[in-house]
Amino acid sequence: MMYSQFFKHMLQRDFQVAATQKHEFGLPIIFFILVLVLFPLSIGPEPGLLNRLAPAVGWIALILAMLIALPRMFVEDYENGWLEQLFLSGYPGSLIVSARIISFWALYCLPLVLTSFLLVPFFSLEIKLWWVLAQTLLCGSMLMACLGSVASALLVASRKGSGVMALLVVPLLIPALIFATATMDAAGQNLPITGPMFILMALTIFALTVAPIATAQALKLNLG
Amino acid sequence: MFKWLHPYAKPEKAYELSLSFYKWLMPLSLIGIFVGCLWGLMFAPTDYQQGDSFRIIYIHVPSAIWSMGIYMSMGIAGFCALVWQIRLMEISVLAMAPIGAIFTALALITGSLWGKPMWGTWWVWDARLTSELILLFLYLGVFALFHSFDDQRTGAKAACILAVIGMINVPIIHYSVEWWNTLHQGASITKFDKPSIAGPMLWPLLINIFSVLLFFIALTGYRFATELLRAESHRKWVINLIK
Repeated sequence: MMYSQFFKHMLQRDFQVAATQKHEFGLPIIFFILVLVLFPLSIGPEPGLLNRLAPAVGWIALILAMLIALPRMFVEDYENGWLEQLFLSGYPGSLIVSARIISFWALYCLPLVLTSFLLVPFFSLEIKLWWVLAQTLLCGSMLMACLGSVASALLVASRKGSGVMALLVVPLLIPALIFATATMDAAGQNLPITGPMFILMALTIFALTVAPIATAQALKLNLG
Repeated sequence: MFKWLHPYAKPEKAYELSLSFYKWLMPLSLIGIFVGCLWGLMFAPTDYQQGDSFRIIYIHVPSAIWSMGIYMSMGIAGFCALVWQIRLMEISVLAMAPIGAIFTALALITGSLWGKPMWGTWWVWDARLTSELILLFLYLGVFALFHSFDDQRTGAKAACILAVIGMINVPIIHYSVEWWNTLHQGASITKFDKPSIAGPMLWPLLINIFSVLLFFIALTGYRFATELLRAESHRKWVINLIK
């Protein structure tokens, strides 16, 4: 099989497996909504304040919801032996991993980004600002999926790993958060957003290039 | 150089070398730190703006400088361990991680003690403080990752992978945070210009920076030797050594 064909095949398989276990994908979304609900309840229902906080809340909720979803990235395939077979198949490990990152992003992160539309009614966020926020969330969630794939692969065999996940991912995510905030600030003041947005995209592309190599290395380590 | 380095791939030789580092450098570094602190605390002139409270610089700056330096050396050791599959390098990464975490914590604590009289607050969300705090989390991550594995060897390799990723990320984090917010005073020694700190104040600081480096090497040597003994505890040379 050609590499491109193999890649397509991997994506297809991930979506087919996902279609058989639909209930799993609802959980992060419900968690995301719960975090959104917690904020107005804990700081009070004042519209001006909520409006200012909305982008930050969207980002925090996304990070928390993804921390719930990330440990599942490789665990199932590791336990039923599918990963081992894949790595024995002779295809490059980074190809396998990047297919998984993309399917994970489409299955878990994309719904979360769409759910962030709830910020518009809940936090009286303007639609125009939400659109910018959604762009930063799209990039940021891709970046987080890349970083998370490394962490998830490192912890795939470990029983005590769930608490460590946040410690591994969050410090590395901080640059993305900073540039996303800068983008939102610029958009809030009607300034051009291209500068910080492009840096965020560059970080994402960099992570998408480097992370699969590290992830493949980490998986090989755990497969022994 | 490789001919000279080659014998140290053997654990016995590496053990002896690291212990001799400890033996020679520990007294030297302690003397250096003693002299530097004595000079800095007693004889260096008082700052005209900050009074005597600036003297914490003699502890704050060396630990802050080497907290970053240790992370770099840890990342390089992790990279070597992964590329050339050198097991002793993995052990050295584990030997360095807690020392680096302590240095970082020390820099944060002395920094906040200094910040209270000067800036009027224990903590501000300033660029250098934030990136130092994130550095502490990176160290803790390496350590926590190692301990979340049952098999020591796998844990050590995982920690190496994380150290390398962290090393790539440290500059990105540093500059992005700097871009985000800056209040901390600029660098006074490391810029490529005449240092903007007076000579009599500078000398004890340089002595302290250098002796803290020696102190770090000595500590690493000691921890490396101990970790090596633990990892090789079933081997013959260790059993002979302990007898």
